[in-house]
Amino acid sequence: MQESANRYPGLPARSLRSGDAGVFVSADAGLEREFEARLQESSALAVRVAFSVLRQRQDAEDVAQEAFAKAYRRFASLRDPEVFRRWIVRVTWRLAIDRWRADRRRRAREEVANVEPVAADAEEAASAARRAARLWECIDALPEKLRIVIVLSAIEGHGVQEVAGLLDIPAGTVKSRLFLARRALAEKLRCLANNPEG
Amino acid sequence: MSREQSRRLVDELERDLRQALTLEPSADFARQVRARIERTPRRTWPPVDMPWLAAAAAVILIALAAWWQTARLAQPLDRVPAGTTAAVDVLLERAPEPAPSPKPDIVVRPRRMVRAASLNVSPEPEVIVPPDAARALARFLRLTRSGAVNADQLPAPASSAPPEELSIVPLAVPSIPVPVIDILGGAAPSGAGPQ
Repeated sequence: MQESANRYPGLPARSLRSGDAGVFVSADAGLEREFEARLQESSALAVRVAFSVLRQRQDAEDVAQEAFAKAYRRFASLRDPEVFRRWIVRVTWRLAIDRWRADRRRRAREEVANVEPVAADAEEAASAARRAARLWECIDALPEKLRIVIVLSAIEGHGVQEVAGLLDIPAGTVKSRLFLARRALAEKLRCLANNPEG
Repeated sequence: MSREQSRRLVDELERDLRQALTLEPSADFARQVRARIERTPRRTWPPVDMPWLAAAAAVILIALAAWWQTARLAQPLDRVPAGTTAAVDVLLERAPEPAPSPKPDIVVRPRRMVRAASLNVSPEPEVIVPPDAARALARFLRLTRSGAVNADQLPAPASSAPPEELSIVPLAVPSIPVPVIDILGGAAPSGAGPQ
């Protein structure tokens, strides 16, 4: 227990704050253990959500870490696992969108560099790069509300109910947004097929 | 492109998306989160969350605005800025300023000024006068004070004659003879029939 309480070097065991008032509250090592458990459970989810926006592993991990640091500061109000996952998805998504907007120009340069074939099998690499570029072009063309739904449904095999729980919206709304997203994707793919040069 | 082809492409795209989003966080992800938590400075200011701070600031601002408005309405009339008291002068029959002004005779003041004047100067209740009548009264007062109009030369108000005495004659109602009707068929007595 003591070991668990000291997982965060430099911080005393009783250091978690209540979420709303920002006042230090008495928190035992159990709270630290809970945060550790949430971190283990949700880190992949947060990284994948960030990656769906940023497409850079390092950036995605950085944003996910920032989201967890924020969550730690208000963990007293996020102890419920469902609430925590919902919160971490929302905050990671917002942080990733903000980072993507800030780094748009730099990211465009990196993507251009990434699509250059560097593998031994240049043709195969070029094909994979084209395929990835098409994928993200279609995903990026979706409105944000549709994009988050289709991304979450693609992560960890989430079903409609799970996506609805993560976004805190009705399951019917998730279904209709999935339908609209797939229709928009089909439209985009049709456009790309008719005009491959974009 | 047929509907079937389109659906197949969308399925393929979703498969690619699922595959692209199978990445795992790096092995030292949790350690980096802890390091970041350690690096993050603790918040010392503001001592409360921003929404509460904003709400408190809004309440203080509203209270200050209400106090300022009340104080402004309650200030004495002699502290009302110059140029805004002409109508008050008219209402209170003060002597007008000697300096001629190209402005209209009546300065339309905000209602709060009238309320302030009535609060601080006159205990009389505010009388609502139509704008045309107020303008005419003000002009009449100004002309009278300047001597252009002599009140003695004005025609006297139309005098109404006292009402004549009315004599009310009591009504004379003649007696109405009522015939006696014999319902058994007998003749009515002479002289009692209808005339």
